[in-house]
Amino acid sequence: MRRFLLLSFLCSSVFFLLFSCKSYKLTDAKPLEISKKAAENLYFSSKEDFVYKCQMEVYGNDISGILIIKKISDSTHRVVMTSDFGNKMIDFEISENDFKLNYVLPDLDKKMVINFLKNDFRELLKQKYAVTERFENNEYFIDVSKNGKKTYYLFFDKTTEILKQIVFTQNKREKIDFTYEAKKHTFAETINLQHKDFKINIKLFQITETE
Amino acid sequence: MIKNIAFIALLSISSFVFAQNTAMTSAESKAFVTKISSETKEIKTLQSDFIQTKKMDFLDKNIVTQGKMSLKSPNTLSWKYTKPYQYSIIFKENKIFINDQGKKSSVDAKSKTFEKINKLIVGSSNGMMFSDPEFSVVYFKNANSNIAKFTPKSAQLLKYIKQIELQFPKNQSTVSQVNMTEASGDTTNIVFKNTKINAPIPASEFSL
Repeated sequence: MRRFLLLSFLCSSVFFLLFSCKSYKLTDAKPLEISKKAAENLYFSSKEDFVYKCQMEVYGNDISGILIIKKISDSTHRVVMTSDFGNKMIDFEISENDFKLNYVLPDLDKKMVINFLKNDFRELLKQKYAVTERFENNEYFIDVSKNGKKTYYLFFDKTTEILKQIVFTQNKREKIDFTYEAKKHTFAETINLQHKDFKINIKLFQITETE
Repeated sequence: MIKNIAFIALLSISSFVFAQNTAMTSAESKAFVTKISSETKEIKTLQSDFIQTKKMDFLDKNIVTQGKMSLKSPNTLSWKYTKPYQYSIIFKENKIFINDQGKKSSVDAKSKTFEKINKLIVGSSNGMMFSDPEFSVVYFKNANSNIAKFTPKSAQLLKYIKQIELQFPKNQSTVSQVNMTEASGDTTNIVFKNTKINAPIPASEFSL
């Protein structure tokens, strides 16, 4: 029995290693000269109120609510999620290096939940990327930004130059896929945040009707 | 001198505007609760449109959502947002059914938070909250309305909500407005309009 357990553990570890070692690669992309040193994600760069209907799927559990994002200083965003009924679930201020939790619903007050939100939103709100490589395929110009273990692939539509996707990898493995639907550079109508390492998916739809 | 007079005038005007709510005497509040409770017992169904406004101090604009609620005594409630997005939640037979923009799901109503939400909504829309042991209540009145302010008794519930205020127009036994103040000080206001009492509700209203 123990042997069987050990064997199955080994098998699954090997499988896990094989599976997770598959590194992210661009397909059908050819290298280009770097035309500019920095690429930007401008979707949360203005100081307006960004209000989205939010559908979160965390390991089969659905969480619904309203997500509010607002840039409150050059480096910091305030992020608030409320339920559909309006009561606040979480409220924090986040920048590249700082994180301040203003409120969290007692039910959500778990280190794992907060860390996951902190990491995801830090990536979502990252504005500036130093470009280290540039590629193109039929549809997109792809700016690649390498920073230590992290690599970001930013896909810009060739005709509109609108940012359509960011693939975030760590140790070459795909971690999060951000896809955007937008008509202009500074505002995304929908955002889809898909974790590749965990069963977590966040969908955001803009809500324009504010008072 | 003129400045002072102007200031005093302004002060008295503003206190006239803001200090309309006076506390009810204990006899008044007893009469009010008795009246609402007995009238509530006669309510078999309740339908209303609502406008929900969320205020947060750091936002330039309020967040406004709208929809329709239907209640069937004693415990079936449909709460549907129709603008600016579609989201329905139905509380029925100890289960919660959700349709989130076409994505349907159901949960058992065992979760404590859900139970509380259920209780708060059902209670606030028809006045059942008066007998809720989790809250202490104080009563106020002004020219047009009677007002009941509910404060949670337990520290646990206070973490979620600081106060719930219900407004009953003087000629009406149902709530016209709910004001919720959260622990953080943010407020949610719900205004009910086109309220219909005991009008038949099609069963389809309580299914997704």
